[in-house]
Amino acid sequence: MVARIKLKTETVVLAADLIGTSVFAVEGALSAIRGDLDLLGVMVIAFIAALGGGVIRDVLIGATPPNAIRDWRYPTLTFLAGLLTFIFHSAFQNIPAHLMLVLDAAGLSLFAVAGVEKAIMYEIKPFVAMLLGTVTGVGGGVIRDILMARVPAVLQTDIYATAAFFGAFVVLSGRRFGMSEGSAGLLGGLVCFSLRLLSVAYGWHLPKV
Amino acid sequence: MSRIKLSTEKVVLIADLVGMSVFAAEGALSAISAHFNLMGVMAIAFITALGGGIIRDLLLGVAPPAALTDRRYASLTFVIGLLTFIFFTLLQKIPTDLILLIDAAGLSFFVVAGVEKAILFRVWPFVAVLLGTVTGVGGGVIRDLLLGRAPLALQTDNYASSVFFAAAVVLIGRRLGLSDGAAGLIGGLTCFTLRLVAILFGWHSLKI
Repeated sequence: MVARIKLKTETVVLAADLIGTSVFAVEGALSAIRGDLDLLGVMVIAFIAALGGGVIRDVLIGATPPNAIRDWRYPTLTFLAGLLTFIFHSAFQNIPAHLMLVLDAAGLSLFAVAGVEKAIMYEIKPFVAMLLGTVTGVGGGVIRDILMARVPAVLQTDIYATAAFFGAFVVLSGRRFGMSEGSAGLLGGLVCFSLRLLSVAYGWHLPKV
Repeated sequence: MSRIKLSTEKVVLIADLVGMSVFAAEGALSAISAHFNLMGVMAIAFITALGGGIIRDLLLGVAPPAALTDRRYASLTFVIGLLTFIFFTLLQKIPTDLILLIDAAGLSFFVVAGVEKAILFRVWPFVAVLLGTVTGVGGGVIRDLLLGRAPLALQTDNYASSVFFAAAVVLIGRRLGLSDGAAGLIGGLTCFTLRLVAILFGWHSLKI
């Protein structure tokens, strides 16, 4: 009975990871299509947008080769997502912006939590682990924007990286207070997700000079 | 006599911290001018200050990089970013030339730190010079990419060449028997002087 439940948790985590990866891959592909890239460009951008953050994190914590390169399922998934988005782009472009926003927030939360938890596993100090969680969540988007010759959206969108950071913070605090990995992760993910959506709904923004 | 002699590690640490602070402030100023919000400013401060060192560490096989294992580094850059943000109107009044001067100082410190650390890892001399150069200009390059600009280090006057030359001087100095501290000092002064001359006389590297 216990073994069956355990397997389910891992399957849930894996499924969530793959969903998050797909969402970012599709978003990246749409971005690339709008930027008039060809099929190869679209697939590459899909790959980077989805997996870039994780790769940066893995390289920084010394987990080489990065998971995205070791596990063939991830790159394959992103290239596939890129291909499908390319082929059916008019259908994908008709997906309402609100839905994309929600899915993106979900992907962000997922990656931020996965990132901070992996950093903790590699015995990175708490504050830096939070930074790495944030990087995992936003890193792919940053590289994507640089490759598309744009100023990274994350540095201008007010509550994006901040939401990821807080999510990571909650994960860390949760574990400090004795929560299990799974519960702390879930809580942190929910915090990031809510923060992101609330900030969009209420137009929150950070101070500027 | 042993009081005066600085160990290589000490030279690297001091040079790293000073260079870091200068670049953090500079990065923050560019970010504010580009209308970034507070978080963006602190992020740019962080990456400008620590980017070069992170690239160097990764290339030397040091993962996690020193910037991420020592919490003080990251925190310091964020604090400087925050302070620059708060006191921006004051800092804005600092003339560009003075900023370039301070940048030259930070650059000099970083290139020395970079070369000396590479030497500690026993890489080939030419590679050590390259790594010193990367440490000096790396942060600025990443910053420029994030600000959506072509990297200044690859365009402006003698920026990268000063760094490269200074790194070479540090190496040659040690070859000639100078201590770490002395070689570092001379290399740093070389870099600073070259930059100073460029700023004062508006030099440019060869261009087509």
